[in-house]
Amino acid sequence: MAKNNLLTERKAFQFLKENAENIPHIAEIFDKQPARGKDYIIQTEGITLDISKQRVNDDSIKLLCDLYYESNVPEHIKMLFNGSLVNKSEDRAALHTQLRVPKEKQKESYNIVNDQLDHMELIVNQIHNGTWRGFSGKRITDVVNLGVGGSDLGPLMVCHALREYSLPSVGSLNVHFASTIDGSQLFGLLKDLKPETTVFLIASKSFTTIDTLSNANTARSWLLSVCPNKELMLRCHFIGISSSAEKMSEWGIVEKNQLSIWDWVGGRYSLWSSVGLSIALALGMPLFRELLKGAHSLDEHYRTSPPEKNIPVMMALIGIWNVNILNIKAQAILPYDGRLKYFPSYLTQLEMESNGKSVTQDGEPIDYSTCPILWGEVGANAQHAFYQLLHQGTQSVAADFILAAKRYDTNQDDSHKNSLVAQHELNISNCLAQSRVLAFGNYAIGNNSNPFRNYPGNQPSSTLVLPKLDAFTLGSLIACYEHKVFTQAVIWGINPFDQWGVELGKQVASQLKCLFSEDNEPNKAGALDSSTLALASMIQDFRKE
Amino acid sequence: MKIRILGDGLEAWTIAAVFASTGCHVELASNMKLAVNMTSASFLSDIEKQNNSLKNELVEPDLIRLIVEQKDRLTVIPQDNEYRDHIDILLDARLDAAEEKHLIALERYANSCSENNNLGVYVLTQPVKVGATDALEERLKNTGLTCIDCVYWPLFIESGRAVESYVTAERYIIGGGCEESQNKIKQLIHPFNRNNSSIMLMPAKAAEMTKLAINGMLATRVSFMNELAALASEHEVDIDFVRQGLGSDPRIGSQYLYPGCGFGGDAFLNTLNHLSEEFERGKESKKYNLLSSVWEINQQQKDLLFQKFWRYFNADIKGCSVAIWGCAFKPETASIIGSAALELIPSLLAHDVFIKIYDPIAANSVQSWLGEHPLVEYSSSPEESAQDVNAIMLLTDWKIFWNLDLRSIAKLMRTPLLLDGRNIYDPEQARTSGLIYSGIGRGETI
Repeated sequence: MAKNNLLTERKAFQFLKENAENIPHIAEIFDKQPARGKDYIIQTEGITLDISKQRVNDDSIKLLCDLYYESNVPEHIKMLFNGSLVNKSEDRAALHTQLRVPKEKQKESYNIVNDQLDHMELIVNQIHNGTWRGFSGKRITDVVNLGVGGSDLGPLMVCHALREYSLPSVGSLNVHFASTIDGSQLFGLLKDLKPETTVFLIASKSFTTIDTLSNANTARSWLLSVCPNKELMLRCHFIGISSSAEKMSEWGIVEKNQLSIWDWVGGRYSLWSSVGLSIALALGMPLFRELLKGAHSLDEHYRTSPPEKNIPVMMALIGIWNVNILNIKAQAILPYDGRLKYFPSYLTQLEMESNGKSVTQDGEPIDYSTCPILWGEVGANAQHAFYQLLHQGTQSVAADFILAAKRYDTNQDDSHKNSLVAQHELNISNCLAQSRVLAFGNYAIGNNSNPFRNYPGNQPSSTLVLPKLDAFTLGSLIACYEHKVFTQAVIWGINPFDQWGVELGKQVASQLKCLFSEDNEPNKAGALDSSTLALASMIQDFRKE
Repeated sequence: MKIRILGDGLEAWTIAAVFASTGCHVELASNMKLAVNMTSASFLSDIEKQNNSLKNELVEPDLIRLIVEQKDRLTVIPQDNEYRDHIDILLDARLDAAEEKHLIALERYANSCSENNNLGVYVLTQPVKVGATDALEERLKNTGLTCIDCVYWPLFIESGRAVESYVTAERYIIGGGCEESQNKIKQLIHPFNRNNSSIMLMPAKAAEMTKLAINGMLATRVSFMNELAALASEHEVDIDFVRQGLGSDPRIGSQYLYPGCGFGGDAFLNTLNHLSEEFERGKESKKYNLLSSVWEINQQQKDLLFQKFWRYFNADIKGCSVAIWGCAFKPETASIIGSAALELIPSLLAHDVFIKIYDPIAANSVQSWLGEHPLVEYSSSPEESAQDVNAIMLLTDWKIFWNLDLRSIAKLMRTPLLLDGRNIYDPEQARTSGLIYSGIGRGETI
């Protein structure tokens, strides 16, 4: 394979820049292409992508597809799926797609995937049907997932999104999440939970993550205070999820409570692995498998569709176009669905930790932008928060609108079903209204001479429509963004699977710890800047008061 | 008097036999087919052929004797048999029949009465939704039939002493109906109780609610005692002293104050289900009403002996063996509906614990419920089941368990752990016999 040259050096990139000069205001693009609304739509099972409100024309799409080929994306997709070492700096594959291959299609060498799913299912069944008991012999009523980053955001997001589909087998089991290193979330939970009926899942790929392990240590002491038999307590109340069996055993997780993940599963791509145990516990194993099925369906779509009919590829290309050609450095994620409350924060990790890079896979510095600043909120709520800036601020912002067409279509109590359906209709109207006003501005309502009521428009957006939000379509939606991120990384020439940027902070934090512990030995911290020193001493003074 | 009874359960069979024994001609519309020359033995084998755990509650010696004695006046007919003669009273004793089923039966009966210009009495005896009797009568009137009076007559048949519980009842409640129908029902009561003052008349709705309330109250007493037992256990107090003290207060009385490993029984649980549905349907519907706590405590009690077993062996129970003494939900019945055994057996099996079951008459019920299982064995005596086990769990207070030689039983066992779910033994005596004894709120706290 040819050396991955820089984006800006590619031929298609130059043509794209020229093309952009001829792109008018979105309203004018629509004047020229009145049927755009129908033409700029891509569909696959469970997801429809509408890019008609992006600032592109047929030529830009064609050139973006040229860029796709010129950047060797198809070859990289093959490498991603066949287990090549696509994560060069860590010398690893990134085979999250393998986790979603259906059992009957799974390659023999990946039987470990099925084995872990079976082990998960065993644990899930035991907890759901009451076979699993706490130290005192009582059934489990609460599960707390201790994890951070990928071991927290993905499972939390999925559990929240699909809660209403939770299967009857789940019964009254409650699943909680605690991630913060300061212990606040755990502190809040421990006040209400009963140790004898609570199980902790410790999810950490390395099993050394300090945030998670410090929470786990607190949970362990909490249980030890009521069950002094440590061996019994560990056996009945702690499940580990990690790639290091050794570290799990060292901490005290008994072998039958150890679930494995592997080097080739990145943290932010791990909700499909046994890290998803909290999902299976909260919703039921069949729903977890349905989630995998939805993601696999999207994997196949990504792997086999040409770029112009490929949803994640087109999302990626539009993203590159917005960032590198139109110079739009902000991306809003706007789900019009309260169930997707945590989807934006999940995506901030997926996109910004993956593609927040400034050197190529080979370590060469790059001179163009990569991942934009990405943030978001449930759309209808964000309308009352930051939409003002989108409509009348000075920044160009691209947006993804996400919407489920059907809602409240299951057998609900009739008395308020109609009113809920009416709320959903209002929600849809709001979603469509916002993308329309962002794109067309004044054109949508006719010109207005009042400067305070001037809407410039021309803010590009895509709309993702799911027929309904369920385990299958959510699985597809997540996989969509994963593949978008990978495609962009290939075009930018960067490695989406490492995260060296977060290492230095951890290192320095452990260096500073001695400033605040009881055996205060500030000298161990080494030479420090005056700002850090002044802050540390002020904080210590407050603590002593 | 000519009576027809709909139903297959304990209540239907009991009143069929009792009314026949007073000279009534009784037709029992049941799915069971009986031998021409019925004997106790043939009846028993007919019950077994049904292979339905519901029927096991009919295995009560007194009841079977009475049924067989009445074979000339008691005819078993198919469910939807035609009406050849006029039937004075139709008693619908089907457990948990839907309203539509009641209405179908009622309409057929009404048609036969109106053809002959007779007045009929249709009586519901099982727990129903509050308002069900009046609603049925209303629906019938809407079809133009007015020849039937609908009455709610709750019976208080107790399994284990079914016949006795009817013939020695201290009070009877008749809900709704005109004087003529009430008199017909009184005629069924008089042979056993000539005292009209023990008959209470009230509106049908009130009677329906009373039926539910009585069992709700009893269940509440038992669950309260169970909650107290847990507290007693924490303080190492023998709950039996507390029970006796409580029961001696005339405002409280001593009935239904026995803590234990949970109450069960088809009729009892069915009534409670109805009652909790009423609460959930009510305007002030709350998920956590008193009754739901009563229910939750009862579920917890059924699991309690497993928890003690688990704690005693520090969760190392795989490969252990346990003797289960009694599976019937109460003595003198073969019914296991709602019994703690139904909770404990699956829990033990899920942890690969070997089980030896002894029950004087309910063992067959367990076998037909559980099927063959490699880890389950049935013993022919309590002693046989105790051989080499790590624990005995006593779930039913069958008389046979009361005065066993505990000393020799302790010697038979691998671990002499006796978990007494009915508090029938004296803790001190059990201890001196060499047993580690833990009951419900007495004996060792495990």
